[in-house]
Amino acid sequence: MSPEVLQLILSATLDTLIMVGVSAGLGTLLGLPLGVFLATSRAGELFAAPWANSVLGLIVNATRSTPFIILVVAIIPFTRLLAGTSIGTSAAIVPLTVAATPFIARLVEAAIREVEHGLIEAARAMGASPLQIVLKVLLPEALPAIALALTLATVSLIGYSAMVGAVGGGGLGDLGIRYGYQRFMPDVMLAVVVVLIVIVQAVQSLGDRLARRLDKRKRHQA
Amino acid sequence: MTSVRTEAASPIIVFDQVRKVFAARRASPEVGAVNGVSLSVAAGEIVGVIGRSGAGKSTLIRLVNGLEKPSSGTVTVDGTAISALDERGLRAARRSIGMIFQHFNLLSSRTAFGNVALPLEIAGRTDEIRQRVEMLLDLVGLADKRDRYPAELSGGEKQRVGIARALATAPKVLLSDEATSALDPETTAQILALLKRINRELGLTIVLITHEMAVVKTVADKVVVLEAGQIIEEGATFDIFAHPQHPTTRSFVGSVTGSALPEDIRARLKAAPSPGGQAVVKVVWTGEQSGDRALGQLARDLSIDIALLHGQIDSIAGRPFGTLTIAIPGDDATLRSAVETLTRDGLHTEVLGHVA
Repeated sequence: MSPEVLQLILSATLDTLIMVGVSAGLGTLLGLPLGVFLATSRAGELFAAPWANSVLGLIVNATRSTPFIILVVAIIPFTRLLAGTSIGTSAAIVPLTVAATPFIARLVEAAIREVEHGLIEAARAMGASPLQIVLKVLLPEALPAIALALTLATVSLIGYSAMVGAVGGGGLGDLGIRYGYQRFMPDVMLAVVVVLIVIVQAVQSLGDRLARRLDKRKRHQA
Repeated sequence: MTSVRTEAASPIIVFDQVRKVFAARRASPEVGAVNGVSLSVAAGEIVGVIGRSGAGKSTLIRLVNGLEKPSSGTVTVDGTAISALDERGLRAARRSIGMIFQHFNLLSSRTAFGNVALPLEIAGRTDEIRQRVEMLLDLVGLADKRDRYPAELSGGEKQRVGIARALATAPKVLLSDEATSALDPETTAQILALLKRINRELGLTIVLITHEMAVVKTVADKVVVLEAGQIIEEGATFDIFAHPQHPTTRSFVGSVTGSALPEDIRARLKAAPSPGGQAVVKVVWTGEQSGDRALGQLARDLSIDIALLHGQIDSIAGRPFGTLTIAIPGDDATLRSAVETLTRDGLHTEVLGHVA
């Protein structure tokens, strides 16, 4: 493989890491509070707002059920508005974040709903406010599950980021399509796939290890 | 002794005509969990609320700290009408009411120390955490386990952490929601002893709900028997055990005092005496009298053989309590004079029937 191609792979990898990293970060920033709200706002829950819960739930479902490639195209005006362009790495971050946010929100919601109800009752009996219950009980208790959820979301984003390559989004997917597929360079295609596998493996094992460290439930009695 | 003390003290918890009705849901009709309960708990007292599952115990205890709001009536704790408070007021009031749970409800993500510190963090009293938490872990005997996570603790240790946590904000009232129901008998005894000690040393009022009469027997000064959301019987623990009135209470008491007759004897029991048969008599004695001696005396006086069928000698609320089922041979006259003698000696007797 020529040094030029290696250089291409290196910079595409960097682009992918930036796209995935930034959109995962933004998706978490938006999806985490959204997930907490979805998990605590049904009738009779801490921040009971059944109406807002239904509306947000509907929006989340709509976004989640739109195929990603269609979502990318559909929100091009919105992408242009935010990024100034609809092509390239920074433009790709917009649809990636839009796809990641509801996904992360649902995963966070599920993680929080897994927290034993008795803990909420105990916290209420201590005189905790709903916000204190979220910050001191729900989030810390759900943290191992949230770590796994974010790992899953990041891995999915790596896959999505390869797809934005199809619409000129940059990164490894872009490289694979333009060089590996259109110019028929199987070695580039292979390199792209290998790099993606390595990244996914790294993210997954990092997330697993983090979740294990955070989880204090499965320790054996000393 | 205990009853004298409790009657002198002023009530700290007062239920006045409290009703709690849960709204109807689709197929199921309205459910009245608590139906017009009036109750008063004296400061420093341990009250055991006993009832079968579904009797309304859980709802009753949750009305004390406002986790449930009464549909009608008022609940007053330490002079504050809990039932009239808004959410903010309730949060403040709950800091002076501790609660422990059947499944402990400890945060798995926090150590023993962290769990006990939580109520203080919530109350914004962070500067007291180190000193108070260490004192409390010492009080419940877990000073050496302060950095252990709940998953590393035994059931009894978890409940000790739960108790320390409930005491963190120095409450006046402790609510115990089936706190020993998930524990083995030995651990239960240890936890109950701890509760009793806390009650004595800190002057804490304790309301405990349970379906186990044995729990009430060991620690409670007063017993409240709940059925279908209503109080069917209440009184000093010893009196309830010695002379239960309501059938439900009798069956609860029978489960621990040995006053329930074994099945084989009950099957042979007849209402009318048969010639050459024996009368089955239940003899109960409490506190001051000595039943075994009285029975020995009776056998000598009447020159009869008294057969011991069933029984138990026990201690309830710290006083001796005996229940014996005996068979007295002979005719009606013998039986009458036996009952007379025993009654004169201060023993409580009840003729259950006759066997051939």
